[in-house]
Amino acid sequence: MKPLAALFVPLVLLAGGTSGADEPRWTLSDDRKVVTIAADARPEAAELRPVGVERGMALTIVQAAEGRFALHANWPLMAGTDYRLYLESGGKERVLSVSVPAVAAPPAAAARLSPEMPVLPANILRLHLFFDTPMARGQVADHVRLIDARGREIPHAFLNLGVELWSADQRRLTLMLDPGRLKRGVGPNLALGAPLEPGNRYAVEALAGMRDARNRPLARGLRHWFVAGVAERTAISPDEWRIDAVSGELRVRFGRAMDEPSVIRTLRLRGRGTSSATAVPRLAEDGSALWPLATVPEGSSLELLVGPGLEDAAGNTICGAFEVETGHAETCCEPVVLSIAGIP
Amino acid sequence: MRRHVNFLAAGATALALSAMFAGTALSQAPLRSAGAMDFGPDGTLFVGDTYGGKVVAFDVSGILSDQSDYVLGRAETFEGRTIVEDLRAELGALVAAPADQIGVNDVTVHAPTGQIFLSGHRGLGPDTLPFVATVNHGVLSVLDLDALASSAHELQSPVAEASLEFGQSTRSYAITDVDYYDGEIFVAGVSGESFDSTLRRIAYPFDGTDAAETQIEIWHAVHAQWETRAPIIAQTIAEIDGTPMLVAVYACTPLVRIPLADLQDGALIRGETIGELGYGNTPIDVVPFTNPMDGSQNVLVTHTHRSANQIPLTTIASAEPMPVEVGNNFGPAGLTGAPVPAVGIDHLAMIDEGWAVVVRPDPLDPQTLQLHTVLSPFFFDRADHMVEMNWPGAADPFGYRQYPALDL
Repeated sequence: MKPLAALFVPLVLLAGGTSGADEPRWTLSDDRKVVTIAADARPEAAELRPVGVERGMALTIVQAAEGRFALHANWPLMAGTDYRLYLESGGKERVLSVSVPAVAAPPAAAARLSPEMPVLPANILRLHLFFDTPMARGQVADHVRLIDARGREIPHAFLNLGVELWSADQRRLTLMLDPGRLKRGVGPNLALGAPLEPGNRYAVEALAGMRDARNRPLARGLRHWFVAGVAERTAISPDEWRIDAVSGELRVRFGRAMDEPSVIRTLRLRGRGTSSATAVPRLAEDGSALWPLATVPEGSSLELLVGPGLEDAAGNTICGAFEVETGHAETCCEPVVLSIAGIP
Repeated sequence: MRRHVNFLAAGATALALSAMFAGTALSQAPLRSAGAMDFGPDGTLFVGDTYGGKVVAFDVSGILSDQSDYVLGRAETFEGRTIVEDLRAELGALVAAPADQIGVNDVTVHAPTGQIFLSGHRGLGPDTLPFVATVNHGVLSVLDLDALASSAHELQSPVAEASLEFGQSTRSYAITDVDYYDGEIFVAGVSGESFDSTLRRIAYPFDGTDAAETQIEIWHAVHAQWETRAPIIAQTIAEIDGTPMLVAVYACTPLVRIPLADLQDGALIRGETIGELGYGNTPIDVVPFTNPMDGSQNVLVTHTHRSANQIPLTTIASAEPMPVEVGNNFGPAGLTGAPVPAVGIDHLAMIDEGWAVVVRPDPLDPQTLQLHTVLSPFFFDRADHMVEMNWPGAADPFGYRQYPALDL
């Protein structure tokens, strides 16, 4: 079909609207894959083009009813997008403007950084940025950075994998610091040094120009400050955790910054002697894991299951430290079970 | 990315195509995302699906056609051809999206026909829709994936996590590369919510059982355990002195050699680091090619922040492993080959011995992506550069002006 934009003045329609007596009415199906038009004659061809593009997607024409034709698209029309619909019929061609309204929702905001503790180990391996609504992919390298106390960017701080580590709902972004800069004595560590120096202040920034899944800039960026503390280079030892019950919640204090998704995924609480463990913790700002005890009878005995996949923020596990000599790494597959007696 | 067709056997299978795809047809949308790709035998296109946690094999044999009559450029004047001027806009037109909603994730070529395939996505959020497109004599079209025979291999969650019956899905997978070799595919990436490095070896045709999968962690001789967190970003498989070898490149940027025979189920592999291609950089592609000037077999490694490396296979075979306890090895060091002026390229694949196809920013408008060809083994286009000999009346030391203006 020839480009026709210069021959016709498009009439801008809203979904379900009408363009006037001389133009066919049209509606868009809920799945945005079928445009139904009212027309006396069956169009011989139909093509849909995003505004500004001289090529488009051919639509399949099916007569839906007397004077009505359904134009089927292989791909759903996108919300918030303007199209031109080119119709050819009886040697005549006409063009309609089809504007699909954007979904009304406020733009996303960067909500928090995890771990939230004011002091983080200088050899921290993983950080997580949380957003309140889904974000767009493909922009992390340009919009997320680590800065020092003077606001200067720490170059090459995050490992560039070529793919971004988003959760399935694209609301949680995992940032891996370059392990080669964290591990002492290897090339990047020797060349660039560790990205964080103990005692210094740093911030992770999510710049406001970062776009959400609807291609809008953030309503609110984030600059989360923390102090780099002593590097954590020892295995996690559950025996050293402090476990108590406070204000109707069971609290586990780890004594170190933990990797939040790992805690959520691998720690479970169950009644002693039961086989199922379903209670999922939440993390407090101080890094503690909390479980509600409202449904737990007084004096009950509980068991805390610690999965072997548990990691702290520096990549240490219950099996061993993140930094080990070649050939000395240990693996473990069985969970550790901690008994908790006498719930108040 | 086509990686080993120039110098390796294609790994032909005795199974007919109909049998290969029979019984494993997908019952739902074939892909949730379309990323790294590679061709197997008989028109089988493998597509890595990070969001779906699987690798899907599509039978595209029915849409292949010989492209040898499509002019890719003019070697005598070092001029390539722009196949598609505004790739994102052209793809967007085919999937009802504006150009800024289009991402291009990989390019590969069906070697026997020279037909180019692209993977990508429409949209930016979690409701992104994947697509696979092809170029037939310069014309783009998007594949109807539902209409193609296909089979899939699901990438499992870590066994240790699943055995705890914690209920919460731990599936998360980022596929960085997919390669086919001799009846198997090799899938590199990071897996699980902790994003640990994983390389998986999967027999093809897929037999439908999870037990067919081999899960392997990669160890690094110089950097010890940390390579369990830093995954292979790009890889290829080459036969070196008759031994199939995985040639892998990690971020920041070790070049590692691993015999395929070492990749056994459950093994902890120590890859031999034979080169450090330089810190502050991420590799993009490792592409095998035969140098048309001397017939040598090489790999080309392209990068985000450094010029590409041309590395002969013979040197990969003979390179000594880098020492473990070195004082300073931030590179480039060890085996790095020869620098190649191929920079700023998003993706590259060989079309034939003489030409490669690249997805790259338009040199005159970097906001626009183009599909372009470049000449092997130089991998640059003379038209990109403003040099004295381009001026009217200037000296013509290489005799370029004996040729008429290239009009493709």
